[in-house]
Amino acid sequence: MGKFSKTKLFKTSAIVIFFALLAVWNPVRFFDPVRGGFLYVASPVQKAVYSFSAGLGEMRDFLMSIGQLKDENNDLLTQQQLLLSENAQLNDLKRENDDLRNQLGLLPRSAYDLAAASIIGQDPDGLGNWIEIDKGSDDGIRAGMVVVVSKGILVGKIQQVSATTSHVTLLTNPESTINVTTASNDTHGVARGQYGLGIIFDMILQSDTVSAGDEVITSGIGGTVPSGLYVGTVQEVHPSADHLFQQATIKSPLQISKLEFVFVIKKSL
Amino acid sequence: MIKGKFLAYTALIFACIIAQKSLIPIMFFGRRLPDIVLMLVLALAVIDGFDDFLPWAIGAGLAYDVAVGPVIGLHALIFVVVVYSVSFFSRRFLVDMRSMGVMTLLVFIILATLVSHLFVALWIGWDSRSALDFIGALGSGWDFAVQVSYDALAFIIIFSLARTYTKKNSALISPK
Repeated sequence: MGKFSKTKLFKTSAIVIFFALLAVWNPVRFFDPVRGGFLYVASPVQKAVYSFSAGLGEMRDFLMSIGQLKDENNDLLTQQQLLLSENAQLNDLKRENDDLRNQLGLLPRSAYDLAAASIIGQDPDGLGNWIEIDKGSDDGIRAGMVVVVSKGILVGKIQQVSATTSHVTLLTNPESTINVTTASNDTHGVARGQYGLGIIFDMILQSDTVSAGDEVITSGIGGTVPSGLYVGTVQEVHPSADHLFQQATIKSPLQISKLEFVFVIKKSL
Repeated sequence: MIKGKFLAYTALIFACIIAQKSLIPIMFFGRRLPDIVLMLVLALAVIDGFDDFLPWAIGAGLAYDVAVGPVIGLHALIFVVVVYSVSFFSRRFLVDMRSMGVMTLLVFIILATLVSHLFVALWIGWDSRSALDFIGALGSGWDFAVQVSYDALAFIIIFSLARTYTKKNSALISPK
């Protein structure tokens, strides 16, 4: 036994068992001070590296897309014209909406206290499940706060917070569950993340209508996520595995690897 | 000499962890990314051997887990298994560092990538209590092949640099 305990196999087995138990127990709080210290030192370096690599990424994308630029330009011009006319109609609707909301005494939609944050890291396992931002508890950030871009597109929710950084769980993370609805016909359901599949629009009643191209927004049910935040577009619809509900895949408009800044909704004003 | 090695390895591990979080996800497309921290551990395990490198593997794994989260211990476990595997297969095939060919190193890269892949997917499946999530996290055979290709590229660069560094330091101790 004494001889065996000095072997590499014994040492490795003992260490593996120890770390396996540690991983299962997962005493995250115990390591929080260590993590906070590491991230305090690492976050300025990460920020510099991330900015540098974002610049390199843009250069690479430009070089790769040179051949497609002319076609893309023509498509964008056509799209611009459509959007200009749509914008005019929407402005009119907005005026009407503001009047009605004033009459009902509701808060304006853009009334959020937003904290801008830079992205300084991403999920290194490539599963695209979280990003790291350079704001933490010292900046008033708390777990559960919602993260958006462009004031209206939902990115995810704050999960872990240290003094100077925070982890944002993306909508593609299986731990992410958001109450959503379709913008056009108010079909309710739940947007869940799923490994390898992105975002699933789940728990849609069989009697409700949902089609490819429908826009999905947050419904505000539950109170944890404000309503009206854009999630994505329905790609395809199919029955759930148990055939009790419908399911759809949602395509998000975001390319996380190209994002540099996000906004944290600290509170509704 | 020992102090120099301590500083060099600490800086290398820190740099690779930062690059893995803040550089690699931007520079590479798709679901799979090169795991440069894993390849650093593999390269140094091949160069230093089990007994010398085991404490570093544990330290690197814990540092990686602290930096990345959410679970402490997972990458320490993975790196220890990788270091042991290198030692085991080297002994099994009576291969020492000087005579390791390309095929042997490729086997180590595939093995290390497989071990890491498997343990991360196992953790994900365990954490969500879902076999679907385990399968989703494993990905396809094509995903694995892409990962191995990326890791092989990372290993070549890291191994060449690390070997040059250790050769230089050996020459300093016993110059001819």
